[in-house]
Amino acid sequence: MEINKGEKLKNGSEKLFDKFRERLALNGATALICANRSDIAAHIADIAAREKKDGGRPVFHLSAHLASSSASSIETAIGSIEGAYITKSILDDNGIYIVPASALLIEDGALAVDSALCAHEETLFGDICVLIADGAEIYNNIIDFFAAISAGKSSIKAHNITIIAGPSKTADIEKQIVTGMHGPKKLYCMVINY
Amino acid sequence: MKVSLFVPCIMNHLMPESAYSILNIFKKCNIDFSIEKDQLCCGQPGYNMGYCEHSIPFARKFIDLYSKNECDYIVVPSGSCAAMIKHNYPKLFPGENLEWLTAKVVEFNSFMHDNKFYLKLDMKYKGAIFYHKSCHLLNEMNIDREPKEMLGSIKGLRLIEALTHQNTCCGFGGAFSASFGELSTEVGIAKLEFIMENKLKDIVAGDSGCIMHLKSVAMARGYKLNFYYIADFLDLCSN
Amino acid sequence: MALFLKDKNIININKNAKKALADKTLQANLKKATAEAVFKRNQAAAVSETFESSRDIAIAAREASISMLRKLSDEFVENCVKNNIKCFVFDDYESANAKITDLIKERGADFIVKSKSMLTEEIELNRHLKLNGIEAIETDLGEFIVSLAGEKPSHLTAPALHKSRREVARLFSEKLDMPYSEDPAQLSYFARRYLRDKFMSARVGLTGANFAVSDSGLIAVIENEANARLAINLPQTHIAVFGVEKIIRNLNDLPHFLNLLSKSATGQLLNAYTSIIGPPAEGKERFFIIVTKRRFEIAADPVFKEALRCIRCGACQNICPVFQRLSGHGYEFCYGGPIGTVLAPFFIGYQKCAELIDASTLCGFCKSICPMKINLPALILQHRFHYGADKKIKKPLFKHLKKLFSYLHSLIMSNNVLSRVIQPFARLYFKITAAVFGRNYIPRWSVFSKRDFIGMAPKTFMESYFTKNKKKSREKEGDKNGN
Ligand code: SF4
Repeated sequence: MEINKGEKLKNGSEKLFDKFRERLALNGATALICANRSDIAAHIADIAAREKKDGGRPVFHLSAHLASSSASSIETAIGSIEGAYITKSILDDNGIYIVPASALLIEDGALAVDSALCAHEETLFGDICVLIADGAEIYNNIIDFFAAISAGKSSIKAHNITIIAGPSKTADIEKQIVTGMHGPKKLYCMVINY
Repeated sequence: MKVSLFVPCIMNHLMPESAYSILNIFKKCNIDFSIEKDQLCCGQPGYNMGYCEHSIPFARKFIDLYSKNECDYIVVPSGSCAAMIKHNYPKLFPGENLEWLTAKVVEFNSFMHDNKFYLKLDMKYKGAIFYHKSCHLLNEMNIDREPKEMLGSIKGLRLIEALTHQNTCCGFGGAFSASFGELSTEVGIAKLEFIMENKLKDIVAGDSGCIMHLKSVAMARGYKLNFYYIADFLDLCSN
Repeated sequence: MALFLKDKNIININKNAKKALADKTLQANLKKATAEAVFKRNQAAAVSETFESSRDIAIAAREASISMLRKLSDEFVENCVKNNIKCFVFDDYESANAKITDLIKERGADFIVKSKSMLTEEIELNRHLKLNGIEAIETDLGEFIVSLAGEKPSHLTAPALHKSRREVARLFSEKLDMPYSEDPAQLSYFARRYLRDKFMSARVGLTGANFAVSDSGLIAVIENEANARLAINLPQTHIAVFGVEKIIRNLNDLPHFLNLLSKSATGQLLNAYTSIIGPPAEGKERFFIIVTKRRFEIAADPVFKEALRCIRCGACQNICPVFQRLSGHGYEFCYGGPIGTVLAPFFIGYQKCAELIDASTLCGFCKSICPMKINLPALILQHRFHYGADKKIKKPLFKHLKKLFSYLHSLIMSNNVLSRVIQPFARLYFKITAAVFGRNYIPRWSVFSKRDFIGMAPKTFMESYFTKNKKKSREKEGDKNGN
């Protein structure tokens, strides 16, 4: 088991990231790597452009517990998108929710969210959920993750764990996958890597 | 190596030609074989219906018969009969040590494959065949690779099998086929429809029970298909 | 007649099969959905680095927890109390239902939002709540569809597996006044809007639990839609209802089960959401209702304890040739498919299951696909043994006939003389049927035009071989066989 808290996905970890991206894609979500500030801005703008429907203004919600460096980059990025604004409400069933992810589970293509750092509503409401992995713990898989939790080696408490692998979805009608059943339609993960 | 061939009931009563195919193969491979004249059913029907007491007389006779036979292998050309003898006989007589017997009993496919006899057959065929994985052969005896490798070794043959999600039982299931006639028949029909959809004509199966059932369904539906017990096919290809 | 049980007390599989087979839409839905589920499961298992190893670890973990279920259950309750979760353990359905009803009434709620839970089907919670004036709103799309149709779920993880988009479209437009659409996305979106209001105003949310972790007093709830997360987190009060067998030892065991469940059930690497639920948030409350009915008894059974390994993934249903045609409803028991057949006699008694336990070809595909490697065909067979041997079970006529057949088969075919003497008679029989019906006829086998019978060979192999080789065989094998 490897625990890389705070360590960036750097030294020789491109392969790891590739696998994560591939697995996350199998789960119906998109992984984006941000090697610098302009990457963050580009990805945020891109997501906003996809989200903007019928000329409406893109609405962002920023979680209070984002790592401060990435939070400021994201705010700046949103600031430069035409018409975009940030809301404080967490019950808004609309918009793009940007929240911190606390752990990456590579082989599972999944992320763990710590409810001590992020209200459940923040990953349940909105059309789009963007998980920011900035200094997140990295694990091979869910097995290593829980081993670290029970050994007290992770910063996350067991009862605060929500593991997210993909957007809300259903296949209850003729096995056809429909996303956004009760939660977000889309899930992005931005791995901050600089 | 001395081999004794056990002939399962369905083969004995309904398709004796398959037993002759096995003998032909044994001859081609120079296998020293014999057949116990007094052999009976393995006792599976009663066992699977839930009356193990009714399978005890069969098992007893089988054990007695082969305790006097000094062969190295008892070749059983049926996944379900082999599983019955190997897995269930010891349960019927918990106090007895039947290892000498269960070690001797080998299913026809593993026997031919593991001893590499099939390589001596120099088999050729032109065309495609569908291989039906007989359930007990596959799930009770874990025999899957063996028949496929044997068929795969036939020159000119294209082997087609159903992927797991398309694969099903033939629907026979012993007493099930009579107790639940419609269900049983529908399972058989689905199997045949898959074969028809894939425009195949020749079907090889690893158990004579499956062939009996599929053939019976095909007869009523007017499907023109050729069914081979695996030994029939190996024998055919090695001419 | 006291000796025979009336057939109407028995789940009539043949009748249900007839009905299901006649429903062409149902057959098409089932065929498509089950094949796809197996396909996806195989894909996910093939991608995974850990699926196979998790199988063995999870089996060992479950075996361990089953062997100390009572102790684990006490420990779990203790740890939940420490987590400020109120636990209630009930052995009977009535008390569990009554407690849940009280909890809801005390909170002044006349409806609850509910996520998928097979246990609530087992205890028939919704019916009980309704009698007490409480509406249970199913929020899982499949369950929502099924409850709207006034039906019961037909599959462990895909409750509306039997319904086509057309049927759902009709249902939504009739019952919810939704503009008619056959687009699953539109239908889902409409259900989302309809249910979101319910979530926002509900006082009580009720869920099941996929696993309960003893040493830490937590439960794990997995899902894809996010309805369970909404039901857990939005209302003031969360109630989770689950069977005691869901309790596992610790957090190290847990991920192996999660690993298996997501892949076996829906072919996903992990489900969209895995929530670990512990102490309630400030100002909220949480209750766990644990049902023990029959579980300790099964856990103590040396053979059937294996059935408690089940993680309710539904893979055995998807691959079962009988389930693929009969559909979950045909089993007339909340759990259908191979695992349902194994559990049913414990919960509804052997008498009712006389046909059910015979309704399997014992093909064994369920055993191969089961993530927990439960030997389902062997357990079904074990039920047959028990049924046959237990004199206290009142049996219907057809079972007596079956036994008679088995007995006669044994009597005649295990006798060298009789088994030979009967041959010409059997052949004569087929000659007569061929003359009368124009084909080989076997009662109960060839009752309809879909299946003939290949007929008997003019001579058995043994007859022909030993006449042909009479001389040779005497010389060659005479001394060996002693004849
Ligand atoms: S018996 Fe096995 S395959 Fe069937 S639902 Fe349970 S765990 Fe899944």
